Amino acid sequence: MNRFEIKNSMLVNEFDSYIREHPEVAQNIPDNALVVMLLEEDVEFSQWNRRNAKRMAEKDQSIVFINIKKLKPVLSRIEELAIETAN
Amino acid sequence: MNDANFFGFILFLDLFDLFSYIIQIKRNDLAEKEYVILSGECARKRHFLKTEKGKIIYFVVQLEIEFENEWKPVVRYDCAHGFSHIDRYDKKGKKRKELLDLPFDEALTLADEDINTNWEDYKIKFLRGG
Repeated sequence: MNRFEIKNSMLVNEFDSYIREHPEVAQNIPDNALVVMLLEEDVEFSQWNRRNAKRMAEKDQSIVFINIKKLKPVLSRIEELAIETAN
Repeated sequence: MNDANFFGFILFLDLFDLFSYIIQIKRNDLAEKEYVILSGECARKRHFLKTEKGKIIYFVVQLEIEFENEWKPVVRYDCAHGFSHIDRYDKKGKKRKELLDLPFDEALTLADEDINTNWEDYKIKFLRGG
């Protein structure tokens, strides 16, 4: 994967998690639309994905851009752990 | 119209309104959505979600590759028949089923993460005929 594809995978992961937590948001996406990730702080990446969208959308398929404006820092979800050493 | 018939008619209208209202609520509780997310060069991920009262109750997550001007399924996670499983497809559309011993929500998370991370490897393997 190139730099843009890696970034896209990471953003799609975040979007998927968001939809799993807030499935009602998916109702705003037109049926059978092509969903495309954009990142406000990375213009080059967003341009690359806009070009991909144009190329890969099927005839009459709606394109929906998800413009991520800001991301929280990546944090572990582990709430509690124990470290055990085997002698 | 005598009094008994009149009140019977009003009761009928009230019950009709009540049932219409219940049916409307029931309809609003259930929703379906299907969309595809662009993964990369000639690759996309299809999502089909069915929700009830804002909770996902059924899902399909499928990697598709553009091959010979057609979108072909490559890997499909779903929870049809009451259990979550993976179907792996070859170029001819022949599929191999693998059961997932995972609760529903974990299967959905795995589906998303696996395809987002490994779509390129799946694509290469699919195009090689593996």
